[in-house]
Amino acid sequence: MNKFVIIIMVILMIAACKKSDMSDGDNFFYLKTEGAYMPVFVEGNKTSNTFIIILHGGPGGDDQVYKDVCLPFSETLEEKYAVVYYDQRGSGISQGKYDDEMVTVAQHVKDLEVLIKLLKYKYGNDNNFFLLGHSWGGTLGTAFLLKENNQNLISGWIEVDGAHNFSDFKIVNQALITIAEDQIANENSLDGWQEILDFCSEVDTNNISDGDKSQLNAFGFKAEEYLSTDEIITSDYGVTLGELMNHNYFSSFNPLMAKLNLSMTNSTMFDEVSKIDYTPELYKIQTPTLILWGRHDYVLPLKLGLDAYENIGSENKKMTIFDNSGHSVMLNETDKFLEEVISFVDTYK
Amino acid sequence: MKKTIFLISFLLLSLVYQAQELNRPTKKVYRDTTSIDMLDIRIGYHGVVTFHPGIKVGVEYPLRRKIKEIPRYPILSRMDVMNGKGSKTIRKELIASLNSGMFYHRQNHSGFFINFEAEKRRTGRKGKYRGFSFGLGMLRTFLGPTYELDESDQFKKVFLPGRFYFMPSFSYTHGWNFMYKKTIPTAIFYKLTYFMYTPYNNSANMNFAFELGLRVKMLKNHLKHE
Repeated sequence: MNKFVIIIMVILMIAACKKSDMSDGDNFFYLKTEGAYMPVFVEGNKTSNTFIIILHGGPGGDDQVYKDVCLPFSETLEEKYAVVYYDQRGSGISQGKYDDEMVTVAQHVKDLEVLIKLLKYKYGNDNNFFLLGHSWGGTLGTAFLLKENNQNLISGWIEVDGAHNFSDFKIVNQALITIAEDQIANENSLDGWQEILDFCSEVDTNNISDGDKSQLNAFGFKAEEYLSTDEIITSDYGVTLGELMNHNYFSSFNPLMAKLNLSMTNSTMFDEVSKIDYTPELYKIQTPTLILWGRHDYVLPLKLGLDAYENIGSENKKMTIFDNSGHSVMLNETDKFLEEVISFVDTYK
Repeated sequence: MKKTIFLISFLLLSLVYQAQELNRPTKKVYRDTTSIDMLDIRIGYHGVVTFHPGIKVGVEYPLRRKIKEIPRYPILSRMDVMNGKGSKTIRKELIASLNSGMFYHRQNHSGFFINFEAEKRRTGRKGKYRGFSFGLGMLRTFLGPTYELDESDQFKKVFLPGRFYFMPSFSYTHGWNFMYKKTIPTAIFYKLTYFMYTPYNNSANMNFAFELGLRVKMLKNHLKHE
């Protein structure tokens, strides 16, 4: 027993003495606005004068997962550009105190405006800013670009499996039925697909309840698991155990707080977000746009990406579909993803 | 000859049985005040998410201690009884403690807290103990460099950024107490704690800490005890 205690003490002391970067102030700070303290990490090549702001998923997800997990993605981008990771209000490790009324899409847009202003204050007005929005980040980025003159603040918009339209769950339901039938015919993960097919066939598509919406969302992620098991969705690098351990236990992330933030913010924003449809306004987006989508995304199916591409008003728009990817293209076909992003940013910076 | 052996055996067995009867423990439950007039000091590593370091110090005081002596059957020999194996002693205590601590989670937040805990603790025959506790406290977080817009729309650095939170907590403790068996005035323990931050954002949040500590009986309590 004594040996056990000594071993634990040694491990804890080593962990406590871990080398720390004392220059936190330059690449890490908090933005305080309207009751929220949001952590901001500015990593990588600041001399490039090009900043890519990552808008994480959720609502209520966290940005540090993009920094710590799948290092080939973050390290390659950081080598060329400055990459800004920030946890939105009510997300990741952000803290503060405010009412439910402050957890809205409009407030998130306001926060992003103040963040860009702060980045200009700290790093200079002559920098180029790009937005890269993943999943819910696609909704936030779209809302930001549609507000007043915000497009003037940004050099380019990268939407990755994002959502300008959360209201039409028929699309999700239909996409799940199609892939389930296909996979059952190919005898892949039979039990799982049958469960999805049975559920989706019963959904009343004229009046999809909130409970059914949540279940469809969960099945979207489940579908991705089955497709990964059957190697239809692949990963260039995968996520290593070391990356996960570092992210959860040794980095600035806190898994318990982030998980609770996710569920609180998600439930607070559910009503508002599930009614969002920006399709009729997409023509207003004139900013150069790159849309990247996984063919096997059943959380936000490919049809939504095609709709966005068709409706966005910019003349400088491009869409790339990744055949072996699901909802997180950057984690699946990382190399091709990076090629597309770097080529786009270098063109419009 | 056979008769003689039988008689001697009978006499010996009767004596052993008589001795067992004389020493046979019975179930006893009583309040104990031995050394209850002493405060324990505890000090320990307090790591949030286990590996982000911190320290916690506190004093604890047993409000109530009940001792149960439960007979153990079968009693094998008189020696077992003499060695105290004839009954097992369980101590059940209600402990009050006052604690203070701090932790440092780089690029997240540091915290300074004080809390009061009430713990129900059960200590077994060999000094191994476990306890469940509920705490109430206050936490002040300290954040890294923080910027905000002032009234003139200019950014300024926030002085001592962070907030006060009300901090209820729940803990499970597992420890080894050497005070009873080996008469060393020390105990070691580990403790798993979930503590809540409220109000936090638009509701509440929780954090987790792993504590590894030492408890030493050393201070005289000036409160009068019956």
